[in-house]
Amino acid sequence: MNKMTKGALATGLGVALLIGGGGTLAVWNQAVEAPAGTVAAGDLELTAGQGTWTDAAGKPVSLGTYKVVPGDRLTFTQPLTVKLVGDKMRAELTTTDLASGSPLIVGATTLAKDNTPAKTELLPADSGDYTASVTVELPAATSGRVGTNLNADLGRLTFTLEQIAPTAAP
Amino acid sequence: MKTTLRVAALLGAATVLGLLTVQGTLALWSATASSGAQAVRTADFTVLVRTADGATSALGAGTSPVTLPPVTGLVKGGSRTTAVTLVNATDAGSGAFRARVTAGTPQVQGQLQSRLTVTVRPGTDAGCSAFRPGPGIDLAQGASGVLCVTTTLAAETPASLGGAGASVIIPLTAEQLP
Repeated sequence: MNKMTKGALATGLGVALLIGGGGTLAVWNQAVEAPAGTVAAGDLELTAGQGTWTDAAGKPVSLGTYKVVPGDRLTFTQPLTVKLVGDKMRAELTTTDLASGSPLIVGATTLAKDNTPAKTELLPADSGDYTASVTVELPAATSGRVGTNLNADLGRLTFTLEQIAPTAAP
Repeated sequence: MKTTLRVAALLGAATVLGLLTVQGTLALWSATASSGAQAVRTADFTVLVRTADGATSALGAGTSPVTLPPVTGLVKGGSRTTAVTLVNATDAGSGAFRARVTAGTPQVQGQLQSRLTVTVRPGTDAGCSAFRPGPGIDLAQGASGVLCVTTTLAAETPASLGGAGASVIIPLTAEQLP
């Protein structure tokens, strides 16, 4: 056989092998979906309602026009709604402390739920409505003209709900 | 040896960088809500003094004087009464700020010091035609009252003091009522 014939035979054999080999790729196979379910993220939400100011007698006052005199004590009450979702969710509800000294005394801000002090560490079961309160007082003992025409800006009063890092599972 | 040190230094640097980077991952969920608590303002304690000639000034802190119009033409044994109107103009938010204004002992200075008698009494709402008991007057917020200043020149004042003058200082104290 000459070289041309040998080359043609080799090429034909190669093609035949390729064709034959292609047939061997088909094998049984099956795909199934694992029922892994859906992973859902939890939630952490803090919303503030409309705060109100009241005087010592519990009567609502409009702070835009109200001016305090010695012996006055005003209380700011702020409703808060806490929403915590998550199996390992733990969170802490805190507030900025605006407490200041005389003559216009701003007290510490308190947080309560159902008229009892709020827990330090909140769980999803503790979700619900909370009440923040802060009092501002000009003591009756203020003498002379001390404390007239003063301003105590409480606009910096904010509330923060912060997640506590989950502890590592054993 | 040098290679070992370099490797150790690199590992140390990598560890520090790694730790610093990890700090950023400590951020967890948090939510913040503002209160909208506004500002609390205190009132201005203001008591106005209005004299008979219509001049109005405010009682100030300390010893700020309020000048009354001069009393002239006083004759021996005669007296003159001047009404001073006091107004509680304090802008307390409660609207219930009550103040008591009390007159202290008048101090007479000048040539007529020993001849002039000055008394201060609260007048009625109508003025100084009648007087109320007590050294001072209580004023509700926004209300006014009258203090009557009576100046009497002694009948035995010598004629040599004719035309002489004197200044009278009446300390007024305003205080908040509980």
